[in-house]
Amino acid sequence: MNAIEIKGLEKRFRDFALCGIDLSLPEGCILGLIGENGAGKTTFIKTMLDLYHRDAGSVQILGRSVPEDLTEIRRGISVLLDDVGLPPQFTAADTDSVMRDTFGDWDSACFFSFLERFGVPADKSFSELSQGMKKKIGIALALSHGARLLVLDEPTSGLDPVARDLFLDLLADYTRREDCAVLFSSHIVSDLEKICDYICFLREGRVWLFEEKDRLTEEYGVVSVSAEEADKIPQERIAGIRKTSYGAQLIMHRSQIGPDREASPVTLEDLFVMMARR
Amino acid sequence: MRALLRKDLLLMRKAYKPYFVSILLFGIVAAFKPDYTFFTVYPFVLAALMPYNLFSLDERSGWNAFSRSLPFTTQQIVGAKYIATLTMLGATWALFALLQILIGGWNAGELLHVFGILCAALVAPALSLPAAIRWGTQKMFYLAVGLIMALTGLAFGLILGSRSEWLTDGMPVPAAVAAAALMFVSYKVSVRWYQEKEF
Repeated sequence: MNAIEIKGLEKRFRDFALCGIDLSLPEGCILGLIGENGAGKTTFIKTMLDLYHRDAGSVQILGRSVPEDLTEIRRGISVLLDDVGLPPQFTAADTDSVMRDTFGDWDSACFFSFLERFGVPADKSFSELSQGMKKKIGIALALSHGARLLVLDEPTSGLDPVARDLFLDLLADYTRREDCAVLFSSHIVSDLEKICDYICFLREGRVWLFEEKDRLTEEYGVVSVSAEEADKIPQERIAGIRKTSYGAQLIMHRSQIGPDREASPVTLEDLFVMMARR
Repeated sequence: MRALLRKDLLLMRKAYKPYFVSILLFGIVAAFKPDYTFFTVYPFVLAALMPYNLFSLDERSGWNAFSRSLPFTTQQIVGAKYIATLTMLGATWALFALLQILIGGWNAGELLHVFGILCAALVAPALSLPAAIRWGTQKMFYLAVGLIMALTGLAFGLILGSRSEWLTDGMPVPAAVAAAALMFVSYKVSVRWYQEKEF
């Protein structure tokens, strides 16, 4: 079963629109959502969760329809938005007591053990913590009940490298359960590269690319040519480009690369940056 | 729902301690000097403002958006604020009644008078909560507050002005019915606007 199934999702604002998003995430997988600032990542997540009311399309989460079955869906998911959303006066103990009443399967011991692993002082109020510490509480919160789907908007922003590494390990552990899935957005491509099974590249409110990560890196390659040669290659054969004073690097689908050229492996970072700059 | 009430209770305890102290002090003065209407009215205004302030805190902290990702219905989220309102005002009335009995002795007329003030005080949250949901606590703040203050003042005026007539004669029923009806309509409007709201 797919944890997320989205068809033709649209949301229009005065100066921005999310257009015809089709996307599915199988259980047991991690989907990385990537895009430039303003590409629509947060809008997409909020529209999917009905925090923004969609204009068209359909959304199914854990086999149930949004918005009809939202309350039931929310029992089985954890959401971490950019603002964690806890009251500034709350300590970890306050958060724990409220979440115990919120989720029937809330695990207090698990919550406090995550806080300890992340080095979050449990006695300080939320307003006294740094942005990174707040994110860590949000992550601990998301992982401390039996959620089958995690929806995380920029969870690693503000985290130090050690905490980011720990977080990625936790996500990998989490998806060992085959009925669990994760959708997370990030600007940090290396994080997505490490952990994701699928990549969705959003640009100007549209899905630019949605593919299994391994297939992406297998199907595309980097070709180094001179600037003059780059200009001669038809634009439709070029997926991404980076021009420097020494020449040009092209991202091309391997089927578009002739036998006379050699292609080096592409990283996700190159793919994203060069496609965005095309 | 229990989680939402617990969260509001914890927040009130942490963020609004001075409110509780003020209500207690004013209650003691009012019990000694029941003629000083200001000392009776002001604590009820404080208590009535608390849910609006809670909503404002929720908005600023991002709780409003976060709570929409938790397994609560719109009715529960909105209902919790109305229950907090009724609890705060009910507790204030109970405190005044207790102090009045302990300090001033049993006086049914005075208790009914304070009950009338409680009913009038409900006008403020009944108007301010839907307005906060619809326009936000910052946007249109002054217009909303001005209107709410005027209407609440009018309600207080009606209650205080008619003190010697129907309230002290033991007939607070019309005030209670009007307040209950207002709160019910307000709740319904709030739920509707909350459902339409985007976070």
